[in-house]
Amino acid sequence: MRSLKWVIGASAALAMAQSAQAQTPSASATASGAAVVLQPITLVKNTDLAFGSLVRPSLGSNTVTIDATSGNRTLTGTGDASLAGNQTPSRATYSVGGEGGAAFSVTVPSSFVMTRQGGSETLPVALSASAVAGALSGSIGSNGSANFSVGGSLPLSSTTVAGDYTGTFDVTVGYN
Amino acid sequence: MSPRIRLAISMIAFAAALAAGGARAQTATATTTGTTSISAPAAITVTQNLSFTVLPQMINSGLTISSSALNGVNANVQLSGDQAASVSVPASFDVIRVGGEETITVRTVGPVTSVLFDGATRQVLGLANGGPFANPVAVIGTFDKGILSFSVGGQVTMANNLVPGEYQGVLTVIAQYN
Repeated sequence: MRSLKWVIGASAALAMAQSAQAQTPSASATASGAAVVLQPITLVKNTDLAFGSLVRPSLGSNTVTIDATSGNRTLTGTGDASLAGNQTPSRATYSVGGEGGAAFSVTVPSSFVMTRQGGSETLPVALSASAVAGALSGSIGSNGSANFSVGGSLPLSSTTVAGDYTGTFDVTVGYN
Repeated sequence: MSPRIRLAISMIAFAAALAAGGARAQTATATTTGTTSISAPAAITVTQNLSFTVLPQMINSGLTISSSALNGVNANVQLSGDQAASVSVPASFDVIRVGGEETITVRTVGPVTSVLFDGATRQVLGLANGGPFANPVAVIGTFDKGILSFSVGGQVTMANNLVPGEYQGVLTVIAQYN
């Protein structure tokens, strides 16, 4: 916005200069400009989203959730599914870098799909972020950083095909 | 160069700077992988119940009777699953006289048959044939995936004050994913 104001100001100065030049042989005008140059924003994924090992229910249905803030894995629903312990679950975690003090926004898709390896069966995964916006640490002129994380939830039923499932999704950050 | 031209050039240069700023990295994206491993629930099926045959002359004899003796049979259990699992059997359980309150304690003994494992016959359980299970609940072995079947035997001692009759009880075998 500061740059836009400058352009408008310069345009007004130009108009005045043209007007003045029509009356005098020569004239000069001085304009000043300012711009804020920000460091490029960067995003590093530290850990992937892992639901770990699950045992599907024999009856009913359940939902497995990885909490975006705590990383805790929970099981809800009326089915008798269980959480196995032979794989470590984790939320996805990210580090943002850029201009200190700058505000940024986080864009996470509402869902993505995981597909069974060696098959075509899919599992829909709903995603949630620990934050949709934030501010980098420090102040302008210095390097800033921030962290956030993404969790998700997936459904399990007695008809869920056993196997290893995987899928990808993109997370984007941008200066406001 | 006239001031007018200089100003115009300045503005063009500034516009170019703005355009360059627009191309600068204002967003950054990271691709994330989601994973999970889903297993079918472990299934357990009793294919044969444990039973003893006690002849009348054995009552009050003080003898120890095995389920594999005479016309008795061991319990046969079949497990299926797709993860490593542990199997546990209680060291003993009680049977109660039908129509009465008298009890007899049945001590379980180790598997006496080989184990079917992924289609191959292997002895993967930890006890030798006929060995007693430890108190109070013994984890008798693990299996990786596929089908595992084994038998559980029992022993009872014919006490002096034993009341004749039919006795029944429940032997609980537990299979659990590790």
